[in-house]
Amino acid sequence: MNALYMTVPIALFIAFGSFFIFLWSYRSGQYEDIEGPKYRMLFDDDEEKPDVKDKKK
Amino acid sequence: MSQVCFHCNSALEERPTFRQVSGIERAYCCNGCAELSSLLLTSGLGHFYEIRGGQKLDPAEIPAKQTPDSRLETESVYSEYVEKTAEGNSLVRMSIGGIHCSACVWLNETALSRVPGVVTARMNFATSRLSVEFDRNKTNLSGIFECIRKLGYVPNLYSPYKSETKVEKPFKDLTLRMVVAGFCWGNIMLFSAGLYAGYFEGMDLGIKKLFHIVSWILATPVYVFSGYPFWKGALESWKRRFLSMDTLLFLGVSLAYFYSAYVTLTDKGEVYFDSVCTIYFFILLGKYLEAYMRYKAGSKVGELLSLLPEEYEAERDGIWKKVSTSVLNAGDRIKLVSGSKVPVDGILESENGYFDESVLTGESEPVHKVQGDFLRAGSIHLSGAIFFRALGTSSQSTLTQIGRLLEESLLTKPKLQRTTDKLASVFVKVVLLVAFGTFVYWWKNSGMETAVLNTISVLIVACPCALGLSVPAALVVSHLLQSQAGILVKNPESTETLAKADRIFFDKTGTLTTGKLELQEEKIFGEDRPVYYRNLAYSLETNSSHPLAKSLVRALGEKQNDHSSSESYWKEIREIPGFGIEAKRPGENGNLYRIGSRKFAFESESKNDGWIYFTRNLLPMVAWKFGDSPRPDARTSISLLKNSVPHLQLLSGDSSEKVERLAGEVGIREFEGDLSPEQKRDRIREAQKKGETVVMVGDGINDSACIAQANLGISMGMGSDLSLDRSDLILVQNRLDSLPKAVSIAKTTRRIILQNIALSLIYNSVMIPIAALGYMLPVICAGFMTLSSITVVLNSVSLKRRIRF
Repeated sequence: MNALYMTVPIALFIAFGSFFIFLWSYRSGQYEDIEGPKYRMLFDDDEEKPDVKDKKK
Repeated sequence: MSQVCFHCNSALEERPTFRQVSGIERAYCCNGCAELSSLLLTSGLGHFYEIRGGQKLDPAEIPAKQTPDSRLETESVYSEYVEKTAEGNSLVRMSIGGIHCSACVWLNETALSRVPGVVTARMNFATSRLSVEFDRNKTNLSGIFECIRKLGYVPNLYSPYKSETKVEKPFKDLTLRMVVAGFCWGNIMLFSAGLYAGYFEGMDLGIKKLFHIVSWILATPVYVFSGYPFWKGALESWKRRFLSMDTLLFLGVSLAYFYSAYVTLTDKGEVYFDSVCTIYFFILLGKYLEAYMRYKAGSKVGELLSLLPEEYEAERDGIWKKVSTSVLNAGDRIKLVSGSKVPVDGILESENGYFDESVLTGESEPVHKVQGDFLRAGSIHLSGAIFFRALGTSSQSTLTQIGRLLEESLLTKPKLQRTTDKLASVFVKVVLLVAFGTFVYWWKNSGMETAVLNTISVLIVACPCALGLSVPAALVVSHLLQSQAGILVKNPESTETLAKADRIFFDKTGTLTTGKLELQEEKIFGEDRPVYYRNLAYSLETNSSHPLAKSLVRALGEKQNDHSSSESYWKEIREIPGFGIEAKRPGENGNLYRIGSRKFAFESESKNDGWIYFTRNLLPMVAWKFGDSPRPDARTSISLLKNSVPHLQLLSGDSSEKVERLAGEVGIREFEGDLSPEQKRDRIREAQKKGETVVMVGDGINDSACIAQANLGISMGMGSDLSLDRSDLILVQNRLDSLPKAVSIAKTTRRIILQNIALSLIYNSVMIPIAALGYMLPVICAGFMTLSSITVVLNSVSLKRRIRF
């Protein structure tokens, strides 16, 4: 049972650690648009912008 | 040829529009789609169609000629809606109307990012809100608006600080407190399970101490952070010499917390840290769910209320200048151009004009007003330039005042909730007395430790969290059910009011009827050539912009496919506002053709009879009658409502005979026609004087006065944005059969709430004496406390099964 003296504090530490990570992500607004990312990765960005083309000429 | 429109993917009608874009001919359903598609394809945004996939879009409308957006470029707009970023750019937020799918988002973002001067454009998928960062030296707001409009979407400025700080900030706060409590509760229960097992089977003292300390660590953030609203509430009520539910909750939890801390330090007895977390977590969960519903409704309302400030030409002290709505004053003379909104209540000074009051009244037909008539703020002016005199500032207008009321209502508690709070305050006093008595009694008889233990038992078992949950839990379930049935609740009191309704007043047009003008009857006088007459009328009416003329053109257009004669031309066309249109034909010896009301078409003195006549030299050829038909679900809905509401009554401004016929068709026994809005309101007042609870159902607000007067205002969905804004309850699906559902949900919800209150009070009054007499250990008390909350929650969930439509 002595192992508990070690494992319980470690478990508590991990739990609070992940909890603070969650708090950080919540505060920085990562849950405000949970729909967007799954579509946004499908948008192709390789189309050149017209104004970029103009500069090349 | 494909069977669907290349742009919007909707099925093509018989006559598609073909257009060659980049060398390929494509089929479109309308000019709007063709226009938009060629814009996309030629500017290299054809990728849109790949992202769109099989999604259907609304057919594009050809953008109406927009009034020049100079009103966007005023300093007041910039200072209100545009922020400065750290890099010195400008940031504007807007909500975009007409977003269907990810392709729309992509299109807006990509197209905007190509506008010179726009740095970034990001849209939130969930809320259709766009934030655009731009360089003010290279582009401006009107440029951004122009780009979005060209794409076929509707931009609306919105200020996050205006609409959201009131609702969103507290909501996010509450979420965080709830999450903290939930996290700690989940963890602490693991250790509590160990401690309970140890309580019955024995436990190593060192391990027990470790578990106590861990529980303490877990309970502290809950006690301090999650419990913040409660100890703040307790403190405030203490200052005001008033005992609230918060007080008892806070006292019980505090005592449990500090006693447990004492136990942890001295190793004597059991800890109750888990009770601290359980109590706070469940109460916060209930509050969170309730706040979530309110937040959803609130953000919708905020969007609708943030209307664009506009600029008007006004004359004050003999000087004409451009001013914004906010500085208009009583007595100002204001010039309105066609298509603009009436900014403040006022009196018409020009001879006459047409006004679309559908925002305020729900009536689709434009209203003809003459000199001296009252103009309502919010209505839209349709005919040429007019002048009117302001009667007050915009904040005094009925429209603004209702908007303000609405915002306030979102922040008020439902009445039943207030009643429970009062009940709880009495209850708290009693419990505190009992707890004090318990403490004194046991202290004298068995010493300090037993006294503290039994007092905690009393406070915990008396914890009014079941009472606290009774209203929100039931309301949350009913909100869910209501949204499933297509009912949007904007005022939390509406459930109670609707449950107690004695009388429901119905508006006619748009509520019991579909609200669309349709050709109902046609009379042909000269029997020889009906097709020829119709075609003549069709071609003449295409010259008129009057809405009734448009309905006629549509109806006649459907009737026959041969429009060859619509090529025939007219001369000397004159449209007489409020009467009709007249013209002559070349090649005929001055024959005078007229389409219009009876008075006009025959130049007679007799009264208008609702028919539209087509005459040649004052001799009738054809006549039509327009009207709207009852909704298909009106009859069944009314008969369902009859079972639960004692009185149903139809009020209308329409002629009595029409009202009588409709009442007969849908099965309403009480009805009245020929009423002015003021008379309608008086009818509601009379009913209220008799002590009745009155509900008014309209499409839109059908009269600001009526809705304001009634105890509860319900509007049909699909009305204009603003009108939806004005009512307590909205039938979103625009179906009348949502109404009996709403009544049935409200009645059941009210019953369940009363049951919940009774349940929790009975439970408490049985348990408190047992605890006070010392027959209860705090552990078991905590168990019973949770049990009572669960009973209340389960009873609320049973609402789902008890409702039958």
